[in-house]
Amino acid sequence: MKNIFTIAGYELIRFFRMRSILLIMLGLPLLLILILGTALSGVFQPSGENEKLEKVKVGVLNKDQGVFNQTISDFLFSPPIHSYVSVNLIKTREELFEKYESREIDYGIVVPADFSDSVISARLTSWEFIEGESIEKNLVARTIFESFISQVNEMQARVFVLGPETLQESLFTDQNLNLQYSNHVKIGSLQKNEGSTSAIQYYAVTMLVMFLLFSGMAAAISLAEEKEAFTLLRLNSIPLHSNTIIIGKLLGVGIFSLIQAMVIISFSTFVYGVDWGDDYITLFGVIILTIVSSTSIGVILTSLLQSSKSIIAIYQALIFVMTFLSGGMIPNLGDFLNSLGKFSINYWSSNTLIRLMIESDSTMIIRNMGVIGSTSLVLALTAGLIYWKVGYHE
Amino acid sequence: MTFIQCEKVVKRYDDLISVDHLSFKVDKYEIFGLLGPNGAGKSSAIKMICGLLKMDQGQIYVDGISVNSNPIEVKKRLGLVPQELAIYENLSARENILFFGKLYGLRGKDLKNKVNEALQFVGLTDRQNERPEKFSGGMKRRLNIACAIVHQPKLIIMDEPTVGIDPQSRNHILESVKKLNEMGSTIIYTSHYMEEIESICTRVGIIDSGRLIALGSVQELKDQNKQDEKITLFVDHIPSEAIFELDVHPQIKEVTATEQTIEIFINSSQTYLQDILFILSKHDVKIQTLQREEPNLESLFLSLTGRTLRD
Ligand SMILES: Nc1ncnc2c1ncn2[C@@H]1O[C@H](COP(=O)(O)OP(=O)(O)OP(=O)(O)O)[C@@H](O)[C@H]1O
Ligand SMILES: [Mg+2]
Repeated sequence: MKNIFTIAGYELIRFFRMRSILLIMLGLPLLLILILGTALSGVFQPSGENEKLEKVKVGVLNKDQGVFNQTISDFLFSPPIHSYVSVNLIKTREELFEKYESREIDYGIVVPADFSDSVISARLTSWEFIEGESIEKNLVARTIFESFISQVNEMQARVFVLGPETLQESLFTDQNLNLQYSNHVKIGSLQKNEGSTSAIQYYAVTMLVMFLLFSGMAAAISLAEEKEAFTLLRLNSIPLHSNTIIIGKLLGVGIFSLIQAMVIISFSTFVYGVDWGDDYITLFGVIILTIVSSTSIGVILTSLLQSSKSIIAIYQALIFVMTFLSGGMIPNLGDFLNSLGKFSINYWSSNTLIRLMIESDSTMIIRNMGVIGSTSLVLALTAGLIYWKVGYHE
Repeated sequence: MTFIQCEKVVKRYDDLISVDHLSFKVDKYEIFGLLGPNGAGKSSAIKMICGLLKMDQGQIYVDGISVNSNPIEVKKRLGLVPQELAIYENLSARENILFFGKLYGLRGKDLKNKVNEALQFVGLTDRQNERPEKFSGGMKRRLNIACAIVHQPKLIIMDEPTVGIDPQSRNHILESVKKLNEMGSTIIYTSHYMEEIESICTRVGIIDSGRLIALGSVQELKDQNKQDEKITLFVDHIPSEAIFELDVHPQIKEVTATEQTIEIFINSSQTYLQDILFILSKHDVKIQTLQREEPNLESLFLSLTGRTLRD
């Protein structure tokens, strides 16, 4: 027993000394939340010193003819945007580049023709940004237009959690169609509105879940590296009871991931005012179960793959696919892909966390917890079985 | 008193037999050397003694305990210095030793004292708080040893502990092996350097392709090979016809020629030295110096296998 804690303790020490792990597990989520948060909370409020900023001359080539066409032009000429940007509508790509060459515009934007369609069918979409020479102006333009895109994404996120019906219901009400553009460069509303959450709440959740999944990768890397560094050979020559080594190591990874979750949650709470709901016990439960699932996947992968390099590659692909399926859970892709998304760990964990935030119906939360619990149980048992068969040795 | 007993141990990897009916005994307080070229099966044999590798056939007893049926008890008695460096690069030297010491069940003052002793022993006390990332190859090797001896085991097994280091560090390590032995440990030491084995081991087993081909004290093995001697000649030039004539001489076992030296392994050089000199002078070769070497483990290996230890 003591040995398990010794191994877990040193595992933690080594994690905190591995710069790459620290960066991925703690630095990156904080940075991403920071970037997303900045884009959403509008650092460029029309106040004081910021007004001295010279307006950015932006050339916009709007190829979109869909439902958002009007929204986009409303947005472009809305007063708050206008205080930073002077918009120059452009007809063709050639014209855009001519004006860009002759410095008539500082920044270029191309809205793709399928933008509206993509938004409605919740496909990933973005605008093409053509950066100019001034870093400062690029930053201003980028921040403003990305915040618009973020709002659009928020609507997609709403589809993700509350189902496609909401899209039909709310998207086409006037208020939503206008995307509250006047708010874009102001603080995005962070408070709980009944039944809905702001975009930053969604990002905090998806970031948390995604990076908890990386803890499984950390476990897998750590298990593989112990082999590669031959320290496992030495550990196995020490009179330890079987399983001590692997349990100790996984415990270390688990504690590290908990610390990671705590850092992400407190950071997002105190810096961005994200409200994680009041049910801390269930929150803790979701986090623990997600860690269990993810480390189990890590153990399974380690027994199948030899080098830490291939583990990293496969695991990243896995996280990507799961994140995609859960986030790209789309009405237009048909029932099949819809239900496929529900097989990802992200879907259930994120869904539950968001329900906790909006204090949704507790029967749904209980049902979700059941799914998460049984998933992690099955994964843990599979990992245990494989470990029992293959063992953990060099 | 027998401390380790290997009985007809066999290890196979698919078609390849890496250890082939290996049997030997090691007495308490011995330094037993396992000498063999790359791929001879030294590491495989050692891993089986430590209970790290399952044997396909045979039995190994350490201190009367069967490795197959009670590996944990066997592991309690030994410290393994793996052939590869097995240390954590992001823990300091001291932390590395502390970690393994704790896992061996050491605690509190005892742990602290033994860690200090281990550091002192390998000469890393001054650098104890640095991470091995900054260490030279020799220092890493010494740390690799310290991690295995911190709990002061009765049996220390060292698998090529000197590969890839400078002569000074190597001598330091060889000296410390002797010291550990004087302090009461039984030692198994593998190498493919016969000089190392000759200088520290009390008894030697020579293995090749998994088989034990010779076993005995260093002196016994040399005597077994008495008639084999090595003659090294430094010459001004080497005509290939001369080498050919030497090679076909019935008493000459092997001839190797490089630039200005000719190495000849021969039975009883006194009798046949004349022949060699005759052949060389016939081809106008001028001899600058001539060395005669006593038989050693290298020449024994050669006469047993027809090959040299290092390829
Ligand atoms: N895991 C393995 N799978 C397949 N073959 C192996 C494995 N480990 C060792 N072998 C083979 O068994 C033979 C003996 O290897 P071993 O490592 O015991 O030799 P060694 O004497 O320690 O050599 P070296 O001096 O290079 O360390 C070699 O031919 C090697 O290729
Ligand atoms: Mg070896």
